[in-house]
Amino acid sequence: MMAAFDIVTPAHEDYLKLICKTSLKCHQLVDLGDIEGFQKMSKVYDTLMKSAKFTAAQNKAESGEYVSAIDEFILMCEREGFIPRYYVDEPKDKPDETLADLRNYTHRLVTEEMNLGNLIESAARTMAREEAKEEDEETTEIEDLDLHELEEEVLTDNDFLSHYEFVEDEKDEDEAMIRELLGEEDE
Amino acid sequence: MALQDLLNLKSDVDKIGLSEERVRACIPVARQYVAFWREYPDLFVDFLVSKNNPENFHLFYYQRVFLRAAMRYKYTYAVFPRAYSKSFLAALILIIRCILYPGAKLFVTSGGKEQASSILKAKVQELCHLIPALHEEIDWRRGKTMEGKDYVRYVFKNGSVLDNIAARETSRGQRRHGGLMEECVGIDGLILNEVIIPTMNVSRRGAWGDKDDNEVLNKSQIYVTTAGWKNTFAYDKLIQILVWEIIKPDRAMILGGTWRIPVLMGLLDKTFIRDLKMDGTFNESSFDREYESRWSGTIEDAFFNAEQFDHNRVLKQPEYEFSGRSTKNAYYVIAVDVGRKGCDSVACILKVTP
Repeated sequence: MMAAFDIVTPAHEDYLKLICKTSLKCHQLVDLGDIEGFQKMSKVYDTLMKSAKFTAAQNKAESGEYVSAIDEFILMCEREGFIPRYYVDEPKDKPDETLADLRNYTHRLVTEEMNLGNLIESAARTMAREEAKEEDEETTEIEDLDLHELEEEVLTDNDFLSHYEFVEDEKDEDEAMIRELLGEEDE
Repeated sequence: MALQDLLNLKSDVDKIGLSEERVRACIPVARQYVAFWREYPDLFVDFLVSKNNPENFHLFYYQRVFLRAAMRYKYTYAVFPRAYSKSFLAALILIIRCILYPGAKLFVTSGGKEQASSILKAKVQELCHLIPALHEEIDWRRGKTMEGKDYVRYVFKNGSVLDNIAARETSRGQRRHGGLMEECVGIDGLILNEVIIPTMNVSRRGAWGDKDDNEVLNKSQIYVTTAGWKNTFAYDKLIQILVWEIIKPDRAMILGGTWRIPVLMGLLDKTFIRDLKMDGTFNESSFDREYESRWSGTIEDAFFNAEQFDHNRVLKQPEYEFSGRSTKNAYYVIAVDVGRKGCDSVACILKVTP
């Protein structure tokens, strides 16, 4: 009965107790075979049920008529007065912890790192300087290598002499070979 | 049969109706619940699906974080990739606000009016399907809720209204309490600042008959988008809200995420991401914007603002020949890049008015 009907006021509770007692009496009268007494008691039972609005028909008629949605109910709640904000003073579960952690991280990063913009700029400048330095070093290495190789490859008069001798020898060998070939053909 | 047994009879039967007495008796406790749900909207959703959940709907962990952030802060900026359910969550937030703040007037706006209406309509229908209790909160009677092609309006039983407004001059003069800037990369910054944001000048009048300017709902702005280009209004707004997050920590919050979360939750197929990466026509910059939430484009200190530049490209009064509309000292500079072998020739005509 408590679950099936609206038992809100003390009057409702009193009605319910009377109904329950009447119902017990009805059962007893039926068990005793007192049909006349049962008929009277059942009329009392019906009257009590109607007076307390505990009938199925009334319940059905009232269903969903007063409040049919949560938003309507919330409207009623707010009509009672301003609803103060629920104060979340500290994280209460994992999503709260996550949210707080995200906020704190961003906040700390930006506020505790003084001159964040300057730091980024200076880091960018350092990187650019390092890159330029690396390029310079590479260029210097190449230049050093070239000079060293140049020193090693400086040609002397002997080199020229030997080269010309080599060319002359080649020339002689070629002529000899041509002569041989022509001689064979002549023969 | 004992009296107590009779009182407990059919204790498993649900109450059929709610009388005024029963409802009024619950109000003191319910007021505490309302205050709590305004801070914990995810638990309100859990409450809504606790009795009737045909689709077995449940919120993911990251969605709970998003919902709480969007409900607790006046200014929220979320940059998320595709399939992150960002529009779904943003629409859910607006609906929850409409329920928990009676008489609230909220809007959704986007680059195109039709885009906002179609997104809102699709998301409300999806939410009502997943959470049947939400369907009961909306007044579906003719003349109240309407779902058109360009305009949708949902009227709640407590007087709250959720609709879409166009990011155009024609929206000037309307009144709302808060809104969602959906895909804000496509919204004209000038229109947003001069037309849309001023619609939120007036605070909500609560059912108790007064206003509370500090209420989170008033002038609340939720920006939701995939990443776009730097030097645009949307990016500047993101930085602005980041600054507010630092100097007004109780009012603003920015959120961001990549494709990894929706893949982890099963909302996005990992093979789809792999295929996109392999796709030769989908360049790296596009992937970074759409799925890594990285803003790309011009550097921050670029000489030109690309958006401003594009905005001024359209001449209101073009001159097809010498017009004589300028001063006598005005002159034209014509530069021509001659294209050869089938290439286009481009001519730039500059009018100089000393």
